[in-house]
Amino acid sequence: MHFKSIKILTLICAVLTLGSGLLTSGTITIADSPKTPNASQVYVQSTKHLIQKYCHACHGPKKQKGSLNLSLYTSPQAVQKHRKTFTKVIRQLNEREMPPPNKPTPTDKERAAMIAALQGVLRDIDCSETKDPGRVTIRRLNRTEYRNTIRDLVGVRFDPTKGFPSDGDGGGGSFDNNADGLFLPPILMEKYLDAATMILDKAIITPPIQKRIDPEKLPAHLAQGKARKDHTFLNSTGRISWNFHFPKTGVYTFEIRAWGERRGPTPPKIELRLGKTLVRSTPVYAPAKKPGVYKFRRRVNKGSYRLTLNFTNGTKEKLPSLSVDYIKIIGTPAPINAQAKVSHKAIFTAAPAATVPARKAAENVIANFARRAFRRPVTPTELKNLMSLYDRAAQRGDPFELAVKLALKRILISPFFLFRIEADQPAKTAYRISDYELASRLSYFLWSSMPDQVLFDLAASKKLSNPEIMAQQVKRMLADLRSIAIARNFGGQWLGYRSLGITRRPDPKRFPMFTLKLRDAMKMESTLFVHHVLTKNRPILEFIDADYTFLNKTLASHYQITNVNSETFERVSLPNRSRGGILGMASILTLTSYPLRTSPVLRGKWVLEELLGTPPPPPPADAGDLPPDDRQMDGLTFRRRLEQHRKDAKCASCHNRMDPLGFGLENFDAIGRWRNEQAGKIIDTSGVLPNGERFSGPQELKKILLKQKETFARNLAEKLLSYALGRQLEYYDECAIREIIKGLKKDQYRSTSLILAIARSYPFGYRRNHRPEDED
Amino acid sequence: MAKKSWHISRRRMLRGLGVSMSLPLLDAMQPTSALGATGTRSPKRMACLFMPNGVLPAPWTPKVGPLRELPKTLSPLQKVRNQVLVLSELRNKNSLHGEGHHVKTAGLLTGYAVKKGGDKAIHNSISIDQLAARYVGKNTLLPSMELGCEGKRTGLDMGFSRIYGSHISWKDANTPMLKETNPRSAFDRMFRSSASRKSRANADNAGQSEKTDEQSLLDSVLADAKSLRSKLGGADQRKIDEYLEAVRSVEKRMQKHTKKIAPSKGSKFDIRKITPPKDRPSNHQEHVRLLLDMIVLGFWSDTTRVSTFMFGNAVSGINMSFIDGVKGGHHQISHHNRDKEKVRQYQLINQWHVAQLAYMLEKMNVIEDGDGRSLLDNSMILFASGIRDGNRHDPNNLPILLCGKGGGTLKPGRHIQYAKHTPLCNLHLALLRRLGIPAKRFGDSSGPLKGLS
Repeated sequence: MHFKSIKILTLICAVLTLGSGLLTSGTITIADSPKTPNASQVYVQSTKHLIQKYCHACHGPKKQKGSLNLSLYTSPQAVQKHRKTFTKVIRQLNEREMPPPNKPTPTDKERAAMIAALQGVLRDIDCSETKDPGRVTIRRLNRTEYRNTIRDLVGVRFDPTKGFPSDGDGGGGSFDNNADGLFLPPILMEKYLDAATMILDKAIITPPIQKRIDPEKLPAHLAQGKARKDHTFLNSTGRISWNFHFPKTGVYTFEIRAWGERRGPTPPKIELRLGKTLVRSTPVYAPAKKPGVYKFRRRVNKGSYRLTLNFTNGTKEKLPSLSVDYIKIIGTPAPINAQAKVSHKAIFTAAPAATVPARKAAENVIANFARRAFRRPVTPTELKNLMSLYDRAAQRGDPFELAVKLALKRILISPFFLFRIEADQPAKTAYRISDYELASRLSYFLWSSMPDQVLFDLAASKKLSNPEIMAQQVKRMLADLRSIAIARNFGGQWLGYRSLGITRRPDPKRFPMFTLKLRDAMKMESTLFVHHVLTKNRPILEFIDADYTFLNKTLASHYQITNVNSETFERVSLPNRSRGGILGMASILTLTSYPLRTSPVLRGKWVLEELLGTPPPPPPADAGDLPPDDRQMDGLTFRRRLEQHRKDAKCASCHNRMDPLGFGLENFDAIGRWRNEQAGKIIDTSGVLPNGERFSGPQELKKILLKQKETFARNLAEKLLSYALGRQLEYYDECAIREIIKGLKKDQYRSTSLILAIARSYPFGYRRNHRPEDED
Repeated sequence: MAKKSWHISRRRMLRGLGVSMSLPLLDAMQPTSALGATGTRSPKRMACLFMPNGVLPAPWTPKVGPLRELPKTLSPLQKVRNQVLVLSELRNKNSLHGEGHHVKTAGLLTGYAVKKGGDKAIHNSISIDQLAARYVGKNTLLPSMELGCEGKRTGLDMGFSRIYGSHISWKDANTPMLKETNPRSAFDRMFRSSASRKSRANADNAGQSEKTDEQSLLDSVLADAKSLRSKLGGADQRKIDEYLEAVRSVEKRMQKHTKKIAPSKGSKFDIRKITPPKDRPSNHQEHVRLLLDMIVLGFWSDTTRVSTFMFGNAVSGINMSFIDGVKGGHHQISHHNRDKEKVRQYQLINQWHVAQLAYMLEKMNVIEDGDGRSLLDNSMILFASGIRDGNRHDPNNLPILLCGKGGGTLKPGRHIQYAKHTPLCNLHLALLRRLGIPAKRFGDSSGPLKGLS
């Protein structure tokens, strides 16, 4: 009974040890079922008086510290109306900031009662009146989304985000796709610019540049000397110069076809300069009858340069003369890989031909790319701006592919690509988002990537918002391999395994067997399992308990399970139920341990916080800590020491909730191996919950957790909705959550109904314009 | 002599780790022969190093006055002790309340009482390094460089966004400066990114008048963003502002350097002699040292003059068991509860942090900066934690070291004990003034900290 209402109980865990009758009847049920009418009654009958007793001295009719007068809120309706004020009140009560220590403070029981009642009142909203889809801040693609989007847009198979600053890992109810945590510092802009270059270099095959310069065709101020029919003749010191744009950094070959006439012992000498830098100089021995071709090679940084060919020794009499036929600049061909052939073909949807002018073809390619990159149709102005970059390059003589590339690069650093932008519509109230926006919401939710052609086509014909078509699409997308993203990113952040081995790592000396191979196997098991449950329409309760999992040889031997002989993961039926579900997974068990030992406290807290969504309050500032190692000390086992710790009343209230859950998992060591003994003693895996319920070992623990299925389902629904929307949930999302849970229960907790309900939910399909109150 | 011991210690460290690795800066970091003073002063540099989780007070605090014998925790600084100021009794008043770590981290260089709340509601103020970057950063390729061992974290912890606890450097009230955690990326950013290549290659293109492709790309997207901005509201606008700001700063960097960037005259810095660091350091100590190397490189090459570094985020749980005699995570041990064993380990962890500082200072001390002084002589290296004793979350009497001579504006080699509760912001103000920034007040400052020079 106590356990059932854990959501509120953990908030007010101080109360639990007292086993109070006063609370259990009223406040506790409130939290479990948001519609319970009792919250308001409790507020009127008791909470109000407690607030009067403890708060009014400073925040009442006589004194209004911080301009707060709590005596004004006589009815539950008034509390609801001043939601922000009371959210703060609850927080300060919960964190024991108020009342201050030098004033009369409520007993833990009273404090808990106040919090519970106020929570209940705030939650008890009327969904027929409250209708707000909320507003998602425009957000840039996070690192994962950028990587996946580039993969699907350009078709290159490499990681362009290597070296991008980390977008962090979600935690505390937030995911890494939440706009409020996604910044765009200059360092990232530099990386975007570099990445755009790198991506297009890999995806597009550019023919090496070949440019022939005939000096006789240059204007006279550039080519000194006498222009002949097919060459230029220099009979005194002179120079030929011209401007040239090197489209990319690389090695270039300079070919000069020339001949000289000797009138004495010295042959004519020429030198080639790049800007002021000498490339090379050479004597020209070749006679007019047999002109020579002089080749220089040099690495040149991309950019425009003034090139000069100097004839350096023609001044004096009896000195030679020189004739130059042409100068060629030849780039080095880039190696062509098979991948580039495919991506190149996909990007170049048109090519210049006899009937197709180059500019027309370029426009086609650029418009197609922009439409997919911006995930919506492109406006004529946008296309014009993009074409101006093509023109810039084409006019100075860049080859077709290179000129197009410049415009594509512009697309890849545009805010319309880097951000997911949804347009305001001229409306005062909420409105349905466009079909294109819906396509992006769906694809980034399920694939962490851009929509594919099917979604684009449905958006173009405005069919995607049709509920039946959307349901079909959701099912199609879940069946697509790209849906692995939801397991990696949502699952990995919700359950924490994405950061396994990064922020939490077992001690390498104590656990040398925790290798990268094992770590990756642990992550893979969790990813595949979460993917299976979420996309194969399994009941979500399998997260708590299942009779199967996914293993390869490495992980199976870690679990002491035989008959898995390949390093390829396969679905494995489990011989008994101690492993099944996420609590039996090595990834989670390692994450919830310290480097040197297991931690029943961390594990218990993890179950409450991540699985059930009912985190215990922070420990008091002066709470002690246990030793980092679990070897026996002072003749006490670790469990005994923890039990001593719990004798301290201020610790007991919360630890009585957390620790027993963790004890139930003590058969798993700090890297998730099964053990029966520790330090020579049989492990005691029994736990007693505050309501007196007894259990022992993981199997019985899971049975108890399964009784909490509604709390678990609510937690999962809240987390998944927050991930799908890319924002933290607000109080008005309660209505959507209620709808989602109703549908889930009806459908035996099947995952597809959860995902469909989210995709169809009001906040997912609607938005509204900015309001001043969003600023807080 | 200095050269030799440096080599030995580095090699010994490597052997101790039992790994083979490239020696990124070995060739470059050899001390150069003394060079006559050229008369021109090299610029001043400032770095702020943050250590999470406080220190054990007793073995930290030396006798007041000239530094002769160093207490145990500070003992690694023995060789460079005449480059170190120990400052006691400074307090960061605005970080007194809230919670134990995040407030004290985000507020360390801002002197601001950060606002409670989640990622959406973050509110701080500009930090001294960013203020400095606005002034002295104009002259360098990177206005500032932010480094750290742990990446950004989000979400709520004890009522505060974890974004607070992962950043000491703040551009403005709502924008933390993201840290680079990968030494290789930091290196590439200084010496290999298109922006830096551009500016370094510009000598070849001298005389080129037209805009580069990059510049026209950036101009063109700026136009997009501006028109987009006018159609958005509230938080959306702020996101686009960030974008605009980022594009402009890249653009500025490309335009700024029409002449080749070079370290100050007389400096022996030569990028060709430097092997880039590796991507993934194999352990924490190597990670820390490679990142500190990047600061040294950045200062030496005059790629940047302002830098911050975080050994770890607030509440860092980095496993410190690689230190002999230590078992467990940093934060876990810092709550020692006066337990004898934990106190011993906590002290070792503190001392290890100081040893890493010493590693950096010793390097800077033998690098000649071009004006006849050492790089350290021209720098101010602040080493600080946001709390005193990790067991107590107390921002009074913070553990503060100020190292280097600040171009002759600091007189190190002493322990100065100030009056109780002297504002930490007085130190911040004093540092800013030394960089030539005409700040009148900073945070709760009552005047620039006296007695430093």
